[in-house]
Amino acid sequence: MSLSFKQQLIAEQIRVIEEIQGAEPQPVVSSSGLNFSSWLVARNQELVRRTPIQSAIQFAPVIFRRLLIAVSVLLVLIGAVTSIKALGNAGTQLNIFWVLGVLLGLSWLSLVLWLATLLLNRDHAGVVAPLFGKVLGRLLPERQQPTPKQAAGRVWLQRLFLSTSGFLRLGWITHWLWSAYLLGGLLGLLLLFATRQFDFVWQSTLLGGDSFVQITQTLTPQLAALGVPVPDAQQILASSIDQTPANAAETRRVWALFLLGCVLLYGLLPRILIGVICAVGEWRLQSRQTLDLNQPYFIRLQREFWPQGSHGKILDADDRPPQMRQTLVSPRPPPADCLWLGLELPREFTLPAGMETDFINVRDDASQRQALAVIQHNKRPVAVLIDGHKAADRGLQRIVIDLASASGPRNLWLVLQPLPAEAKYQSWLQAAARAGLTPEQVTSL
Amino acid sequence: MSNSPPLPLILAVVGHTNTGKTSLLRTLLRNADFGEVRDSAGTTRHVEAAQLLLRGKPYIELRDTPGLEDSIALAGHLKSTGLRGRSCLEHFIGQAQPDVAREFEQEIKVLRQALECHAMLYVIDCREDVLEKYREEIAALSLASRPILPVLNFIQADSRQLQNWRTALAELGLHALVEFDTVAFDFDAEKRLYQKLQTLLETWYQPLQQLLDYRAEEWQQVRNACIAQVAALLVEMATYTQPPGQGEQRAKQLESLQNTVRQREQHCLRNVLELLNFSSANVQLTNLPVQNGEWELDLFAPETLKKFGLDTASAAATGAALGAGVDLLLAGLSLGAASLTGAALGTAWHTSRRYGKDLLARARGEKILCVDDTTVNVLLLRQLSLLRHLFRRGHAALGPVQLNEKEKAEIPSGWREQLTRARSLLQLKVGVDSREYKNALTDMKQWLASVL
Ligand SMILES: Nc1nc2c(ncn2[C@@H]2O[C@H](COP(=O)(O)OP(=O)(O)OP(=O)(O)O)[C@@H](O)[C@H]2O)c(=O)[nH]1
Ligand SMILES: [Mg+2]
Repeated sequence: MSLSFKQQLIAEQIRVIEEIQGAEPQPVVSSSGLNFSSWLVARNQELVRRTPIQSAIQFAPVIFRRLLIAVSVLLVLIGAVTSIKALGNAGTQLNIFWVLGVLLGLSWLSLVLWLATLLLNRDHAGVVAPLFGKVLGRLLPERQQPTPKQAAGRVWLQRLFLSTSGFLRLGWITHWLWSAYLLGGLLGLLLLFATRQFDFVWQSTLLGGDSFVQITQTLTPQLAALGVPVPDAQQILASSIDQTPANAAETRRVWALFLLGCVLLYGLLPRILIGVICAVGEWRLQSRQTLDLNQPYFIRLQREFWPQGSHGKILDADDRPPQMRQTLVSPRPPPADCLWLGLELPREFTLPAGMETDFINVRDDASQRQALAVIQHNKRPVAVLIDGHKAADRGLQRIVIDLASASGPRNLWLVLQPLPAEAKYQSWLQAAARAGLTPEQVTSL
Repeated sequence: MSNSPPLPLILAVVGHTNTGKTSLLRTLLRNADFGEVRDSAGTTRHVEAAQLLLRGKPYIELRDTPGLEDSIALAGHLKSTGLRGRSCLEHFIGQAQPDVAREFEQEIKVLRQALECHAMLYVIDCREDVLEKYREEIAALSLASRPILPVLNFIQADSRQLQNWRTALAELGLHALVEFDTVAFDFDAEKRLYQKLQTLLETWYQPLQQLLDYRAEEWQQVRNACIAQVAALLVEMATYTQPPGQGEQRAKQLESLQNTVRQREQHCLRNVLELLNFSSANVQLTNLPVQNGEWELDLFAPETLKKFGLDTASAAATGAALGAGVDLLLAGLSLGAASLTGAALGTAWHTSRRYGKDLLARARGEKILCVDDTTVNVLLLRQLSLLRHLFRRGHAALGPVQLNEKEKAEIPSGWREQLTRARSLLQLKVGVDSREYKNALTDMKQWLASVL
């Protein structure tokens, strides 16, 4: 299962909050039977339910929603007031096409601009969006030490406004606000038309009546399709400023409905339609966003969910830990005339200067037996050369014991070359002790 | 053959004492705290198990055993039972005289695991000659009639013995083996270890493959996450600015700028260590300027700059007024710069670097403080060598990682472009949320991945 956009948003918000506050120490929900994504979702739901995280998460969206509602209401009022003001002062004669221009012209102009910036500048997702993003960025700037609210708010802002889908969100907000304004205008008109009587006229110095008939008739078929009564050519011509229409009351009604219909059909509806398209587009782009699970926080959670390995468990315990004795000694060098042996010396071992190479190196059972025979034959003190990199294990101990019993414990020296680190040195002292040697007999050249 | 083999697959890690058995477990488990590791004989004296999990399910159980110490004497006792194969081991474990049982207490623990496990990893210190005692160990373990996979450890230290061991093991009938250094970690070597196990344990082929795939994926993810951390650090620091101050204020700002860089670097280091499962305590890189998780050397100290072979003279020349480590940048081109993009900006930037831009900035009377090129370069080199070492550091490693002398002053090719790209964000005056910033970050990540 992959996370929905909303779940991703919450996950990111909780991430920044937990990065500030520290993550919940206890496992929040059990992981059995879930995969990581659904576990993460369940964990976040539980956190939102149980902890005060909710208020931090909701901080920015709630402000946004309230702001949007407040501004919408304001714009409805402004729209209504504007239309009432514009028409109310005009006396009883209303210039039809002037009114249309006032009500729809600005909206269309901004719509065209919006589309143009969108199409001309696809890479930058419009001009307004980045600018707006900058402004929003200022409102919730990146801080060195943000509070959970600020951090969660920033994530919300980044994900909704500053991501790839941000321009579409700004798009639908714009259209929504224009719709509110136009709705206000429409309500204002309705109010005016319901309570006052206007004579609808048109006038022009340059254009003849034919042009107005044409303009009107290009606008009317769609209205007629909706069942709105529309002015016919005769009524249009009759509404010229210097004429008096035959059926004045009917003409007035038709023109009023025509005006209302135009604002609805050519002002409000396109805005709503494009707004919906933006919202759908935003939703589609959002559903393509992914959560960056490579962030340390998520990797940490992943490891909490699926540990990489279990902790060690002791199966076969040690009942008799060895007693480690530290012995301090002043080693004695071996006598000059002694018999030299090697103990598991590696091939590349560098012999001490001036030493003969023809000694026996005890490496296996056979060479050990050979060495024992030589010791018994010679009756000389024995010095065993040992690689100081080796630690004395029980196998080596056994060999030392065997050699000591052949030569006599007083006659055996262990020569460590080079002098090993403390732990290994101690292991040789122990081997020596088991073989009956004194610590002084463990030495180095 | 059954379709679903029993899980977890039990692997006994056996071998002579002090060959790195516990180390092998640490590295495979990515757990630097497992067991006890010491450079002496008989460190581990119990059998300790830990499991490798895949999506919460145990797949492999690794069992650390005490080292075998006296196989030659052991061989004598085993021979005296007069039995062969598993019954020989069973008889020896069950019926040994009390004094023999005490003498071979550790060996008996190992043999018990040899009988219980599905296969054994026989760890070899390949600096050693192929001695008779090692042959006896293998012979004793073979009695359990379980597959044995020799693991040649310490291959970094000495490779001369490797061939001897290969020959000797082949003579003993062990043809499949792996070279796996527990300290110098290499994911490919780990992969080969699992693949060799697949050939030895056909029944477990499928689960082993799953585990292998999973671990490869995980390793890639962790690597990428580390690279992302470093990329973010570099881009952030290359674009970090402060408004300029005057007189006393300026000195204070300088200090705060330097502190910001240091703290940001620390933050990155902490994340990287955590991602790779290292604690700041078990990473002590002496030759690298990291100590106990803290950078050992001052990032701005001349020694650090020198250590990485960077010359501070040029930085000193321009930054004289502000001290090394800080550079002046012109700002305020915002609207004009927005239209200047791509190559034009790049070249303009190149030529105006250092003196040009300083003069320009002075002429315009607009200056901002930012982190200078030399510092960002040091940051890059430090992070690169840190990642290079940590990516190849086994969890068994105890000693400090040695920084390779040769690689130290080399700034990889392509860095100039990356830095210019990041710096151009300053000119564009765009923030972290901008598309340009995100693209620069993505590019930086890709570039880092390509040079590592
Ligand atoms: N350089 C190097 N050192 C290693 C490597 N593997 C192990 N070591 C060192 O070898 C020593 C022994 O390692 P351990 O893991 O304790 O060995 P062991 O086989 O568990 O030893 P016992 O428990 O005593 O049988 C430690 O000092 C390790 O740091 C390796 O691959 N390279
Ligand atoms: Mg051990």
